[in-house]
Amino acid sequence: MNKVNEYYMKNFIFLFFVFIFFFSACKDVEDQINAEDQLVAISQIDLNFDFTEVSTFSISDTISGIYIDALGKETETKTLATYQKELIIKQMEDRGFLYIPFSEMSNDSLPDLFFDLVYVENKFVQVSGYGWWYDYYDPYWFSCWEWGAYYPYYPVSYTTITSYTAKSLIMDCMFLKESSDNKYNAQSCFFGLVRGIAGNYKESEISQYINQCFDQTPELNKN
Amino acid sequence: MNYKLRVTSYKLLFLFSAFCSFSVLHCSAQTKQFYSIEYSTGTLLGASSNFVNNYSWRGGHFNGQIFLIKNLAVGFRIGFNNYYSNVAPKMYDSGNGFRLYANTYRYIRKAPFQVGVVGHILPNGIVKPYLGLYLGLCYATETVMIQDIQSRKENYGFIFTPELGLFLKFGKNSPAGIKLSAAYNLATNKFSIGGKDFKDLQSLNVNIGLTYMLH
Repeated sequence: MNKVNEYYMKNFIFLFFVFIFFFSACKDVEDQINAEDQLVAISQIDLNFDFTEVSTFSISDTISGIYIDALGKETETKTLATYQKELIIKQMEDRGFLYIPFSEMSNDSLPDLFFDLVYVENKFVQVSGYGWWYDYYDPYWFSCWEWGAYYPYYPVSYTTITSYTAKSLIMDCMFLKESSDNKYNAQSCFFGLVRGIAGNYKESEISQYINQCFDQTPELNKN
Repeated sequence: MNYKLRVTSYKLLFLFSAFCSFSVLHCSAQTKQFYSIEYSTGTLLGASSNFVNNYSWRGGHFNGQIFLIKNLAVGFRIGFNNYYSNVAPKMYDSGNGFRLYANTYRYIRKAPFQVGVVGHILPNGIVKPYLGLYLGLCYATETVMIQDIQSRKENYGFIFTPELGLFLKFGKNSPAGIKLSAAYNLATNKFSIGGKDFKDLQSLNVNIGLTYMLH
């Protein structure tokens, strides 16, 4: 290799590393999360349950809030606002069910269906040892490659800590039926979940996804 | 086989070996090498385009060509292409009562490792068009992400790539230039994700890069 070629080869190697640096753009996992489009609505319906056979429902007066830290320990429980409850009542009434207020429930006037609402905040912490450029968790270029950390085989390595909070509203609809020994059994017949991460969601967004849980479940209908 | 014929065979073998050796030495004296780094864009074709249908601007290749004879070179090609789309919220029904309404992030990532042969029409011109045929292995991952939950598949396959391109030298005596190319990739990677089966990975890539030529 003559000197001219050697000169260009050095430049070429330099450009190669510039190229790598450019392509290994830095983005954190949090940047990928867009609060507006990250809510999800999940529903599970018992397809064998005949909702035309039941007519009344009620709903718990409060929503239990459960806060779980990164180690899985429950840290706090408190009562939350209940605009979500009003949405569910409206959805059920629109589907032909008769609402029995929680305060009017008694052993003599139990509803057929009962909604239990739980709000859960779950904090996740992820500690990652990153290796070289392609091992960086970058959603734009290289996310999910998951080639593992190559430290200490590569000289450049660092550790990052990412944390985020998953917020979930759980709607569990149970069918209450009296058993032969004069006790009541609860059978889950519909389950709805609205979940979001890393965002402070507007009431309208949460309402939209609560409604979506019902809208995508046409079987939950008395008519 | 008698003794005389056997000697003749050895002589023929020796002469053939010598011819091959001299040919290689002769070629080496005239060898030119091309090394390129490329920015690669592209789109998926076929069934996999139903999974990710956005045009991808995320890719890069490193490749080289070493001339064996005046018009023919052997080449290699390594790199990656990431195909990505953010699918607007829609409802997915599992059929057993479970339904999910969410937007999904979808990724297909391909990393080919290939060798091939490249034919040059005008190897001594400032503009050097070429046609390359590459064969190799393709590592690929296919991912669906919903919030922080992901489903990811990983697979290997064979990949065949015809590539049409050209080198543009910066000047008559410049060892550097630009490389432009278009390549069709057919990889045999099979995967199943989201309840759908995909039998191959096809893509069309347009690449632009910097090239250095060693004499």
